[in-house]
Amino acid sequence: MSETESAMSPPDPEASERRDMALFTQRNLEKFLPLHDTIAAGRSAFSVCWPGLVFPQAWFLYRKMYGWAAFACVTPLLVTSIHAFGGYGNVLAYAPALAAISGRRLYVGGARRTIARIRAAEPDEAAAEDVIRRAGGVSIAGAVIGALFFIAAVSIGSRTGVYVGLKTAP
Amino acid sequence: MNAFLASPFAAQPAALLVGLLLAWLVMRLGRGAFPLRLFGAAMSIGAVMGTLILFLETPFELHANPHGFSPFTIAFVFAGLPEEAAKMIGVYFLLRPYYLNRNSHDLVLAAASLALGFALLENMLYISAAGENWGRLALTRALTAVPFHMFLGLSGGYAIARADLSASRLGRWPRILAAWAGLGILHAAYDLSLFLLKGEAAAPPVVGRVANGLGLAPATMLYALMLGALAVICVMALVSLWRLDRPPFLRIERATNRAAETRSVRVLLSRGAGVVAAVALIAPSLIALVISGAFAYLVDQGFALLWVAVGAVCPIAAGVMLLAFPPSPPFKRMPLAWRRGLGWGSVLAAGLALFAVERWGQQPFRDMLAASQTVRGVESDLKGDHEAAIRAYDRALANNPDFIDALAKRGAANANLEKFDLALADFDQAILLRPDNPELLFQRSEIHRNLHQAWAVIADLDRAIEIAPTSSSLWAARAQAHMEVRDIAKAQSDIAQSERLGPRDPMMLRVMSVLLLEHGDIEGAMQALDADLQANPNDAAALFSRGRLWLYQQEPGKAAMDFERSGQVLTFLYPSLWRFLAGARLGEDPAPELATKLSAATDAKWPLPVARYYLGKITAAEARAAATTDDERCEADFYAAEWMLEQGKTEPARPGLETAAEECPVDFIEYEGARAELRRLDHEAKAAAAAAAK
Repeated sequence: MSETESAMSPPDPEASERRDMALFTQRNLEKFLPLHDTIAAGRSAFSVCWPGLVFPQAWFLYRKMYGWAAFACVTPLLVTSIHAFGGYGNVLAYAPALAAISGRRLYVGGARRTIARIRAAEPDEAAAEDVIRRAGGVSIAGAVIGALFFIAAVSIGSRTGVYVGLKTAP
Repeated sequence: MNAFLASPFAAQPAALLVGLLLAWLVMRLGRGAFPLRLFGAAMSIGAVMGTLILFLETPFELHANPHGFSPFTIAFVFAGLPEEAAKMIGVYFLLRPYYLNRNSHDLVLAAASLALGFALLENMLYISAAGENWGRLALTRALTAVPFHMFLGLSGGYAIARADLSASRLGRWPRILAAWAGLGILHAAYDLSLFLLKGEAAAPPVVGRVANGLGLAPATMLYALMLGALAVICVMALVSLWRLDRPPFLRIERATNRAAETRSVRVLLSRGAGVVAAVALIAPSLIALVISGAFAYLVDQGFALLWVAVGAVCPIAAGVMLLAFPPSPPFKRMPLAWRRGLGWGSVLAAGLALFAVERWGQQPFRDMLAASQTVRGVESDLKGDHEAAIRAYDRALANNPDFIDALAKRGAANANLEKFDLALADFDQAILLRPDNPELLFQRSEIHRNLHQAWAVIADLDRAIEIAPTSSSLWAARAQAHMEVRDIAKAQSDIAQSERLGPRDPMMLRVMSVLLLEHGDIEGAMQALDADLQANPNDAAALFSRGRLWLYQQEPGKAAMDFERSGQVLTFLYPSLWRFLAGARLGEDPAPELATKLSAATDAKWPLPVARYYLGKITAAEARAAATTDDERCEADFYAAEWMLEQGKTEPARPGLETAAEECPVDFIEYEGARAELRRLDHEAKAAAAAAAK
C-alpha cells in the first residue's frame, strides 16, 4: 500500500479507540487494554483489581474515579452511623470492597464513556487528545490522600473491630 | 404523620434537601455553563475529604473528650483549620487539574460544590445522631452550617483562582496560605461559639471576662460572634462572585444555544424563578433581622434574640446571589400601565400586611417575647440564681401560658429550689400540652422520685419508654425506680436492656453500680463506675459514687481524691462531708477544708447543720433537731454514726447505722452507706470471733 493510499484510507476506528484509551490510561496500560478490547468486541469482561481491593479509596483517587472514591469512603461511615440501617450496617459496610474488586472494569467502562463524550464535544483532533489526556492519567495527590485515609481507617478498624466503620456518629 | 417525622428514614432526605437548593444556586451562578459532571466530581471529593477529617479526628474521641482538650483547641486545631485545609487541598490538588475545570468560574463554583459535599456528609451524620430531634437540627443547619460551609468553600476557591493569576508559582502560596488561615479562623470562631452555646464544653473564664467587658451576657456575646462569622463569610462570598465578573477574570455569559436546553433547565435558570426564590429567602429573613434588631433596641437584654438573626444571614446572602448574579439578562423595562398596576398593588399589599399584623401579629410577638424571657431565665439558671430564673419564666408564661419551654424550665428551677409541688404542677401542665414528649415525662419522674412517689415514677417512665424505646437512659432510670420498690427482677431486666442500647451511657453505668452494690458486689459496682469514668471522665456523680465505694473498701486515700474532684463540680455540700470522713480516716485534720467550704456556702440549707456538727460547732442532737423532714433526720442519724465510727466508737455507732438503713429511702446514698458499713462491721465482728475461737 502506497503512502497516498494510506493517507486516503479512512482511520481504523478500533485503532483510534485503542490510542485514545492509551492516552487516557497513561500508566499500566497493559492491565487495562485487554479489558478494553474485550468490551469493544461486545463481550463481557472482568479482571480482579487487587490494589483496588486492598486500598479501595487510594486506588480510586489515584485513578481519578472520584465518584467511586466517595462511595468507598462514605458508605462504611454512613451505614454504620445511620441508625435506620440497624444491624445491616456492618454488612453493608463491605459494599465498597465489592466495587473495588471490579475496579479495572469500572475504570475501563468509565474511560470509554468519557472518551466518547470528549470526542463528541471536541471536533478538533489535537484539542480532543489534550482533553482526553487531562481527563485520564493518575493523581499522585489523590493517592497520598487515599493513603492517609487508609492509615486512619486501619487505625479505627483495629480499635473498633469494624471495617473502617464507626459505631456512632462522631 | 408524627411517626413518619420521628422516623430516621425521614431524617436523611431532609438532611440532603438543603443540598438540592444550594446545588440549584451553584447551577444558576454558573449561568448554565457549569458542567454537571464537574459538580458531581467536586461533591464526591468533598465527601472524601469530609470522611478523611472525621477519620483522622476519631482517635482523639472529641465527643467524650477524655484528653480534656479546651474548646479553643477543638474549634481551631480539630475543626476550623483542618477542615478548611482539607477543602483547599481538595480544590488545589484534585479539582484544579480536573479536565472539566476550564476557567476561574468553574474552579470557584467547583470549590463551592466540594464544600457542599463536605457539609452534606457532616449534616447526615449530625442529623442521624440527633435521634427524634432531627427536625429542629436539620432546619437550623440548613439555615446556618451548610450554607456557611459552602460560602467558605466558595471564598477559598476564589482565593486559589486569584492566586493562580499570580506571575510566579512561589507568589501564589502566600495568598493561598493567608486565605486558608483567614477562613480557618472564621470557621473556628463559628464552631467555638456553637460548642459553648450547646454546653458541650464549659466556657473558659476568658469568655466571661470579655463578655463582662462588653457589658453582655456570655450567651449573647457568643451569638454575636457566630453572627459576625456568618456575616463576614457571606460578604466574602458575595465579593468573590462580584470580582469574578471583572478583570483580570473573564466574564462568563450564559451559553447562546438556548434551544439545546430542556424546558425544565430553562425554567430553573430563568430570571423569574430566581426572583421568586430570592423573595422567599430574603423577605422572612429580613423580617427576622428587623425583629431581632427591634428587640435589641427596645427590650432590656433584647440581644437574647440574636439567635433569630443568626438564622437569617445565610438565606439573605443566598437570595442576594440569586438576584445579583442572574444567569439571564435583566428583564426588559415594563410598560407604564404595568408599573402603575404594580405600584398600586404594592400599596394595597402593604395595607393588607398592616391589617394582618394588627389582627394576627400580636400572638407571634408575644411568643417571641416569651422566648426572649425564657432565654433570660436560662441565663439566670446557669448563674445558679434560680429565683431570678423563675421570675423570668413567670414573665414568659404571662405572655404565653402554654409556652412549653418556659413551663419545663420553671419546673426544673423549682425542683432546684426543692419546691417539688410547684415543679410537679409545671410539669403536669407541660405534659398536658405535650403528652408525647419523653423528656418531659422523664423530668416529671425525677420530681416524683424526690417526693418518694415510686409508682408515679414508674408510670411516667413506662410511658416515656413506650414513646422512646431506644433511650438507654430511660431504661436505666426505670431500673432505678424498680429497685426503689424492691422489684429487683424488673430492675435487672431494665438495666440489661439499657446496657444493650447504650453500653457507655453514664446513667446506665451508675444505676448498674447501685444495683450491684445492693447485692453486696462492691467489685462489680466499682467496675461499672470505672467504665463510666473511662467513657466520661468528667462525670462528677460517678466520681462521688466511686469515692464512697473506696471508703467502704477501706481505701480512704483514693476516696479522698474522688471526693475532691467531684466536689469541684457538684454544688451541694455532700462530697465535702464525705471528704471530711475520708480525711479523718487518713489521719489528716479535715476540719480546715470543710470550714472553707462552709464559709463559701451561700444558703443555710441542709446538710449545713451536719457540717457544723463535724466542725464541733453544734452537737449531734442539735444537728438532728435542725432537720425538718424525715429524710433529713435519717441523714443526721447516718452522718452522726459515721463520725462515731471514725472515732472508733463502733458499738455506739451501730444503732444509728441501723436506723438509717431502715428509715432512709432506698435511693439515698445514706441508705447505701449504712448498709455497706453494717456489712463491714458484721464481717469484722465475725473475723474477730473466729480469731478469738482459734
